[in-house]
Amino acid sequence: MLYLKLTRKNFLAALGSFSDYQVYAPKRTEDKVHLKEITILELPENLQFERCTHSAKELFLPPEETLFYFKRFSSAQKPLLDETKRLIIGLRPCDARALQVLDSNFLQGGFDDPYYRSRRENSLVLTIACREFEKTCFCDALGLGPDLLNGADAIIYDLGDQVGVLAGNTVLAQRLQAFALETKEVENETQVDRGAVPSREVELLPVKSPEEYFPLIFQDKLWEEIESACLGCGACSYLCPTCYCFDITDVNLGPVGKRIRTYDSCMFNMYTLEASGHNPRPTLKERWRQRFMHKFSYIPYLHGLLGCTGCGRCLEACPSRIDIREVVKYVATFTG
Amino acid sequence: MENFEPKIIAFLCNWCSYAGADLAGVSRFQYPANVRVIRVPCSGRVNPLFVLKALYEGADGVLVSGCHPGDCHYQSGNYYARRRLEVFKKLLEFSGISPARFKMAWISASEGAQFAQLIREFTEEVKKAGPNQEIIREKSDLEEFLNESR
Amino acid sequence: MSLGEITEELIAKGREAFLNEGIEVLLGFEKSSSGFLKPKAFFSPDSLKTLCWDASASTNLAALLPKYRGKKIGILAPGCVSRSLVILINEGQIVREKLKVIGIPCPGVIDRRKLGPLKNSHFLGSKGEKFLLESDNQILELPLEEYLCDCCLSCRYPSPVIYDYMIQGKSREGATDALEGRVKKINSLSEIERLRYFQDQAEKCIRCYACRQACPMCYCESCFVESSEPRWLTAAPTIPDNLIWLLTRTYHLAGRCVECGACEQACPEGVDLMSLLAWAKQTVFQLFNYTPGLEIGEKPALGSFSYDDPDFFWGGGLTEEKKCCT
Repeated sequence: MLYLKLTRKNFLAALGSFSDYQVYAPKRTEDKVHLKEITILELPENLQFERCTHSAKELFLPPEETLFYFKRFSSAQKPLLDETKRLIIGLRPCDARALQVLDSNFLQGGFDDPYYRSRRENSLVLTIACREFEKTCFCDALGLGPDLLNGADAIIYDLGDQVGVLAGNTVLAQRLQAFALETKEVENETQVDRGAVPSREVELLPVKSPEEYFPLIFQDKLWEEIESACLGCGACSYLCPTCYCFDITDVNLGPVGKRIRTYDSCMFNMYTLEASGHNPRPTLKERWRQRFMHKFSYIPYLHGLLGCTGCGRCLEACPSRIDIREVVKYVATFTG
Repeated sequence: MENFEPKIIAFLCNWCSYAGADLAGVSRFQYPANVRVIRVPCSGRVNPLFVLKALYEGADGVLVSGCHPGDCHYQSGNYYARRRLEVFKKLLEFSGISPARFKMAWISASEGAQFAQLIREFTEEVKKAGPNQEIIREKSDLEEFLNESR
Repeated sequence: MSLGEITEELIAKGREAFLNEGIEVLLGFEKSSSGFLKPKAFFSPDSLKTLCWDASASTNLAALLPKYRGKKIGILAPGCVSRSLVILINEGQIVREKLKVIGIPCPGVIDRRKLGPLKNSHFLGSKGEKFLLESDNQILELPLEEYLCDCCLSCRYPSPVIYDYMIQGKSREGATDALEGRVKKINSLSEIERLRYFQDQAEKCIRCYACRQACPMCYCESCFVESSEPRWLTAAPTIPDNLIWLLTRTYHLAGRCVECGACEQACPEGVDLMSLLAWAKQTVFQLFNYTPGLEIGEKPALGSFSYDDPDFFWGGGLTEEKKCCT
């Protein structure tokens, strides 16, 4: 990958050359921050953005998506793909990391989701390295950091009156080169000037290998403890940047209709309710355990990367104040 | 709004109001054709969600009519309806949905003339309130698809 | 009332409930990682050493009862929770004999929304009229009154209405019109402004159902949103669908909501839920002179009727004119 140093003005000018892209950045409305379409002129020169309340998921896996239209006694219309070109700037490394987890589900493993792929292939994701930690985030405790590229097309480091851009995407790198002061080929983040990377005293949460978790921790009374607090609301899943479960329903108007995809949560009672009436996850103990194992055991086992980015949105939103960090710590240090 | 013909859904209880409506027809009392009748066994059967669903699907006005208090075929169904629908009507008004859109009435089986009068009045009120834009589902994309594929 | 005293008495009463009354589980609170209290089920008298209660206890514990159906349950109950219990008893969801209620005189609960950026600080505890937060290595002492939930500010029943044990202490005195004020403000808007306001709330809603799950009155095993035939609203979080959700949940709670505020605390999006619910309470009271959760044995307001109920129906009041057929 290419590392470039540019003045802020030149960097914004370079972005301006992407005139065929719609630009999206985190924008605050009242007490929420969402990814909204803006013009290049509105981009702040200091390139400081607040962290999104809902993460990049709202653009790549939107809360409501029409899959296709159909007519009775006729075939369905071709899938409605979103091919809008988007340049998304201002996300964080944990958001980029989350996209890697979503990629592992929607683009790998033999099932290719054309809707997700279309959005992903038509977007450029430029993240901003964090200047400070939130009180609730813990990417560093998981061995992930606030200054990593994490598969984004580029990450932008604050170097005072200049910016350092580590570009993983060659097309983007080439376009930026024309505006850069200096460039160099590098292999990873440690070889470049990342400005003031925040650091703090944090206890590393060693994450066990997925195979070790299952036999050890599955029957532990830990899950009953959590069950006593968990209300079974979907807040954690809906806000989580890596939660991707969805529901598919049809909306009709007489002889025509459309199939839509909306969010679902494994915390809901009906999630695994079968037509016979049997529910393999009848209580919140089974459901919360599943959610945790999915992030920390099943995804690593199937796809080789942690399913949690350490963003902390779940523990901030949880009405019962369940702290996933405590669970990770308990499980990580569990010896049976 | 010129030429706006509201769609009105009327939930009429089988024993009194539906019979009253029938009498209006047989007696040739004139009333606007905007109303579509749904027969229910009793006004107490009417779930307020019926009203919301009707508006959501595109109705401009919803009417619920039952037997006069004391005359319910099931003794007390309309008493429950009276309480519940009153609270519900006020809820719709509080949330900014035009109060003209939901009406409750007592029409007995012999009150054909009154039924016609009721429909005349209600249709006028809903016409004045205009088309329902407060709580209606977005279906322009489906309508477009329907028209295309014709 | 200092924090230390009530904790000791709580634990003592909890132990009594296990040992003398034979409860199988006690629903209470313990400190979470951020210092704010989180709900916890205690299964033995020895586990009670982490039991505590303070002004950060925003969960309505009655919402957790369905998990322990059939067991003999002890539960911590300030005023609102005790009223929730009365309603659950009246609606046949729990049996009074299987409950042991530890009544708590409540000074009110902190509103996380009012804390703003401070909501992720570390909570150190509440004492009397103040509470302590640690933020950025500073200790802040803040007045409780400025950060209480609107529900607590307006609460007319801070002391429990039923209890088996009563913890000593003083409840909050002096109900303000915080909730009534919210309703008044909305009523003063024009019709179109009111609609815009609720459509804004509907736009914020993501249909995560945290409000429903946090509410003790939402105990239906199958909620109306899960009904596919008939289907009342789609799964998509559009404004009209979300309006149906908000309005119907409010309607289903009319005459049953005790205004504990747990729903609003649980909502991750900051939707204004209490204005609708406060309106519902006011309306049921004005029309039927009914306040939910005060007496065991009374029927729910919208599940009963009176021959003298106010009647605003068209054609109401039989006149001679209307009686004869024309």
